[in-house]
Amino acid sequence: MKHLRLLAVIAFALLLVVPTAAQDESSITIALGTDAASLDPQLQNDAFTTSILSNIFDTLIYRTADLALEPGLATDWELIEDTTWELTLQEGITFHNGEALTAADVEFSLERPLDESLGSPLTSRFRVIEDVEVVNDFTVRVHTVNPYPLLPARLSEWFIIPQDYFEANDPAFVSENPVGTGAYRFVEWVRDDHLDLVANEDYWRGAPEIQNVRFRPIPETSTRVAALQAGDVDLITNVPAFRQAEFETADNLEIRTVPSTFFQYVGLDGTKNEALADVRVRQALQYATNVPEIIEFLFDGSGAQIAVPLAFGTFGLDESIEPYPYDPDRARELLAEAGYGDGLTIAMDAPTGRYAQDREVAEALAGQWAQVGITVDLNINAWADQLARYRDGDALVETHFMGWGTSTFDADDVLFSAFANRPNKTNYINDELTELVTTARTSLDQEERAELYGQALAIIYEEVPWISLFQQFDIYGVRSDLNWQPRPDQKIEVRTISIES
Amino acid sequence: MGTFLARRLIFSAFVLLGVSVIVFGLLRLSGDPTALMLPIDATEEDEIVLRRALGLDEPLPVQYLTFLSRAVVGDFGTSIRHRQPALQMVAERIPATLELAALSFVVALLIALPLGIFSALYPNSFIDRLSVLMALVGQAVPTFLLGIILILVVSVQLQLLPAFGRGGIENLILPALTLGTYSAAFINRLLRSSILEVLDTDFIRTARAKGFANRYIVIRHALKNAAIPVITVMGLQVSALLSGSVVTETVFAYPGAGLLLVQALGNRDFPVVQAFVMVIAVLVIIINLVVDVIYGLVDPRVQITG
Repeated sequence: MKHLRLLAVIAFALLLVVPTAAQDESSITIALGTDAASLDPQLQNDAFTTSILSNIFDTLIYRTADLALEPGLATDWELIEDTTWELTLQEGITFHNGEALTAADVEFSLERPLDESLGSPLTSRFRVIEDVEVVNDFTVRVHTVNPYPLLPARLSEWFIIPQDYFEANDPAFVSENPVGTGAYRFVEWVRDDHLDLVANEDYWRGAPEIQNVRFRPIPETSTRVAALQAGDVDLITNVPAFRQAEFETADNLEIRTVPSTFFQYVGLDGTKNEALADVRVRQALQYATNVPEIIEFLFDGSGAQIAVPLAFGTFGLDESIEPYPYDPDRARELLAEAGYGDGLTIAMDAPTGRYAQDREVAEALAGQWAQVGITVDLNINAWADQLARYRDGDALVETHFMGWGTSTFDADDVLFSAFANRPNKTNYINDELTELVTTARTSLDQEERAELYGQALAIIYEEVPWISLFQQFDIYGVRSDLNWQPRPDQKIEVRTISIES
Repeated sequence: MGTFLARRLIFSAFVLLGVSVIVFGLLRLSGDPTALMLPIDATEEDEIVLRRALGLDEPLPVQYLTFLSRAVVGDFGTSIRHRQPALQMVAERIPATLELAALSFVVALLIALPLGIFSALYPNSFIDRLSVLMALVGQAVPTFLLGIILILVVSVQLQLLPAFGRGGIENLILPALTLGTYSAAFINRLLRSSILEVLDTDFIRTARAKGFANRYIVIRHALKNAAIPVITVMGLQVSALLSGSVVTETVFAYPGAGLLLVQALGNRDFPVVQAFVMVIAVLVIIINLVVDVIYGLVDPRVQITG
């Protein structure tokens, strides 16, 4: 009896400390894999940070969830000379601190990253800007160093920041207290704990439905899933593919997926292993790669095979190109023709701890290629090491397994820096391809560009400079009553979320 | 006592200098933060520009001397990823970690002391065997796994405590249990064997001959003499708790210094890692000093002299 009473007291005490889950209809808690890096949009290059910032800041041109470009802070953009774009700004937009948005803020936002002493990781992206000219309060001209068809795509990435606020305050302060024009105002940030936003009632697109947003970083995947299951959070990113089944049986939780802008490939360097300079060997490797099997067994089906190294939805990609079939016999034939009928050994650099199942994919490739007589010497590198080798270029062995994410959704992104530019990471040289891609880079005729990329991709398909693998899906776990569809670029735009009543 | 402290302080300064060289060197060997920051299509020129802006282009000895001369006055530089003062970032996190480590230590003692004493009083009894089993499991189960299991059972199934984060005491219970279990297992077994060893000595036999009750002998005489190795280990365990907090904080998304360290290492955020290691080194030196002073208080045979 005495024990019973004690138990009752303990149970009651525990009830008192039970967390009250956020059942408030106008609040939402979102758990991400890591915390924001810096809230100064120009001092970071990180998907989760950009996702958070897309709620606080706006861009001149807006990229819709189906990847089209439409007006953002600029109502109109027009090419008036080969190297000059004229943009008209919306009038009457104010930053969260009350400052009015004018052409001077746009000039500041586009020129600030060019200051090398700022230490911005994005400086390289802005180098194409020669000068930003303020015509009047609501008209700006962007002069580029050469004809640059990608400018609208870039302008859909770059957040517009308030000049006076950034100039008046200390950089360390600004990077913790963001002020933008976005749908949500910044409230508070306790690093690695929570970051709170509140609805901007004066938002130019209209006040958002959700009032309060809390972002919480939960690095450990199992904990993140548990937090959703326990009702502590409402939306989580990066659910592992193999845990999707658990959500099928839960009545108030759901999985939502979207093909990511990220694809994976194996780069082949013919200058480091002469076998790889032979197109038959490269084709043989592609024939020997069973991508559907990898997607099925390692990702529970959450992935899509790619035929050429570009993500779906990319401008310039002909989506009717069929991937190479899995054909180990053809692979063996080609290897025999090339004089490697008795086998071949190649080394591969592969990362661990970066992409979902990265190590396992590399091991699966080694296993599949072994079946046609290719032995893979696998170097599994911690992500920072792999990246350091990649940056150096010379440090990479003859093949490397990596992922590539696009932000412009334009074929130029991969085709120029990976194949046309010299030197590139796999020391690939093809004059015809370089000519096509370089021409497309400065052509302002989108039809001509699409045509040029079509020809370039035909060469890449035949030549197989990289083994094309697959595009993974971004997998989110959500409360079933959230009306929200994920975007392919990992941005969680809270203003597009509503809660079913 | 005065000379003892003076000598220890001078010695500690050399230890800190050594630690600073090692952490600085190892970090530089581990890679380059700019590689992780830049877009994938960045060129070598972009890397050079960014390195220059972050002061990473100087020769290593120059970088080290700059670091050292600033560190002496408490300036550990600015976080590369977060653009905030590194020491301040670490200092903000220390209270959360100390809170967790302190509660874990209390958990460890609450489990270990009664079990250890009881096991020594009644060796080979049911409780003693049970405590052997618990010690084995406690030391063998990885902190990581124990944490996840506790979250799944207590937070998801029973819905009793929050799964993660920092807030009130309710947020601390699961991480403290996770972190304290390992130390509890260790201290418990050490206490038992050390009491049993003392029970075999002459003065205990004398006490027995006088007809004192076993329980009285253990608590009045044996415990005090058995305490020395246990105190040493407890001091070591405090350091272990601090380092163990790295895993526990990551599992529970608990915003302490350990989580900060894991992420700073992943991002090669040199200034933050350096500030963290130096702060922890100072803490460990202080703990060891305190342990040595406690020896003297517990055991009069230990002379604290120069």
